[in-house]
Amino acid sequence: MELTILTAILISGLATGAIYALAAEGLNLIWGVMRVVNLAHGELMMIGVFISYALWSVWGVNPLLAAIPAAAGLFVVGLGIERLFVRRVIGSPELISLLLTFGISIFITNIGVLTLGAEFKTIRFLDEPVSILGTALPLNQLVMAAAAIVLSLAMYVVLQRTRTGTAIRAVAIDRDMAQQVGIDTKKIFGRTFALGAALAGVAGALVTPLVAFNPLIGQTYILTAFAVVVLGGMGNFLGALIAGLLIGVVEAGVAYTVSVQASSGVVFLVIILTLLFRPTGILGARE
Amino acid sequence: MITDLKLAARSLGRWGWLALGACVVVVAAFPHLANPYIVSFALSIGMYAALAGSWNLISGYAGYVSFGHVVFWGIGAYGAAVVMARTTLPWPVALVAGGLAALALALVVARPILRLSGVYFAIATLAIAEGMRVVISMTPLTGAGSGLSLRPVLSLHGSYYLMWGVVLACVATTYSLRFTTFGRSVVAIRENEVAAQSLGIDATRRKVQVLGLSSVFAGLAGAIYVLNVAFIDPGTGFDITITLTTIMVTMFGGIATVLGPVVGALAFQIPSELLWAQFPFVHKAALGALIVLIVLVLPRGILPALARARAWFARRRRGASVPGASVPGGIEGGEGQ
Repeated sequence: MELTILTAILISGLATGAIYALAAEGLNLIWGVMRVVNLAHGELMMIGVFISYALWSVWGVNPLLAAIPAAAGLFVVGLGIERLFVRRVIGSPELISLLLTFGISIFITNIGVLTLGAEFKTIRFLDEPVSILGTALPLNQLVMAAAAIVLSLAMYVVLQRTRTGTAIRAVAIDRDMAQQVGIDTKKIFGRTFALGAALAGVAGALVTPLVAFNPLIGQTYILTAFAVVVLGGMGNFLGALIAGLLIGVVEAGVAYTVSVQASSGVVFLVIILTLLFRPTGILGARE
Repeated sequence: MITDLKLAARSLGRWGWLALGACVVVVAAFPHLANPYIVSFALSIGMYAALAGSWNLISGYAGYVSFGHVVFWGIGAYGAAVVMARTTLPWPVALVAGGLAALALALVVARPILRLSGVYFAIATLAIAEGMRVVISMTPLTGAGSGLSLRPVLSLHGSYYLMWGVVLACVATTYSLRFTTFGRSVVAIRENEVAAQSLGIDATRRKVQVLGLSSVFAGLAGAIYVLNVAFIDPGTGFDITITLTTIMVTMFGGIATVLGPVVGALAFQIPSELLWAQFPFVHKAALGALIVLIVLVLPRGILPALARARAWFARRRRGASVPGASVPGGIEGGEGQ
């Protein structure tokens, strides 16, 4: 294989992968801390997409700035969903929380289609090509990928250094012990879910210039986000970042060498192979 | 095994057999009394009853929640469709091929995925279903992305009877679980896998068997579907909404109950058809809201709720002499001999 093709795969793969990582991190956070698999995560992302789209089409706000109101809006939405629904099923069998969040996901998607329509929309923002090491890429892909990586790392710092972040990590490790030392676990659950939703909102705002989108966009990201979480290890924040980049590169590689269609199977293969060959490493984080 | 089944047959009692006979007569007579639209709707209810019964075996009784159950239905449909479209064999061969194709897939994936538990099993099955869609849409034998068309071979009535025959077989299998060593082992594995193993139950073998059994019913349902509809493509064959409707039907009727899948299919599909089918997106949004509602309000389903209500009334009549008496019915795990 020629070197230029290799670098092309690497660069475009990393750029997509950075977005995957950001899309998966909220899912990962909620899963790790609350033991709830949020199947509505893609739809929270979709809300972020449309907040950004609305700001762009009304005031011309660029998607990078729109990430801030998207995060704030979804933080509130997240608090609401946690308070109304998710809180009631924490500690129930997995089936219950899976179905609950799936119900929420179907509801949001179809309300979205009813109110916003199913036709695809696009945003043209920084779409002039730039060339890195001989690979031409739209500038927006680079900018958004860089923003996603910076935000992922910032989130990591928040979890590691702040008081709330420490409390969240404590609850993730042992809910009962955390409560024993005076952490209000209910409040932490609320904040965790809201923070996870805000991450989804930011990821949504950042993808608006990169892809054509409609209210069904969440479904295209949720399984990739799963693959990222499974590969990176549940609750492992840096793991998700690395896994996201890795999956992006592998997908790009398969798309170049085999076919674009085959590359859509990569995430499923990643999920199955990871679960089969590293089950202890991943299951070990559970109890 | 045979004595176990005799015991199961006898346990039904005279009234049980009468009720069963009455149901069979009603189901058998129904197509002659209703118009084709209603019969085709009853066929789809039967399909979901069969799918829910199949899901109930692995996820309700064995406790391994499958989120990709549509894959067995889809592979069953493709198995039958390939036989019909690529060979000149008669349709019963295609039907059997559908069941066997689903079984083969189940046996290939069973050992590795049944090592996983909880959410990880659910995600692995989901990934298998989605991955299988990608594989099938790239395979020339199965018509790749555009799907397979075949000559319609089964009449509406024929497929209706076959489908409800599968439902009957599935319900009978589920009922007999309580009386067979196999069934009790499966429930023991759900309740506590380690304890079950320490009692000498070969958990892996039992889990593979129950997934195999479950897949055959789903595969037959898929095969009957395709023999009637005469078309299948990857989008339909591995549609996640089929998995979810299956799960909701079982949950609504009562998970890990014998009749839950049938009751759920009737109680879930009829209102959905009457009320919402005209408005596809409102319908789906309402389905989402309904799922949330069922999960929060009625997480164990209609049949266990009815059993609880009956027990409550019985206690009232007896003057509430036994406060806090345990509720019968529902999950069979606690019932002994």
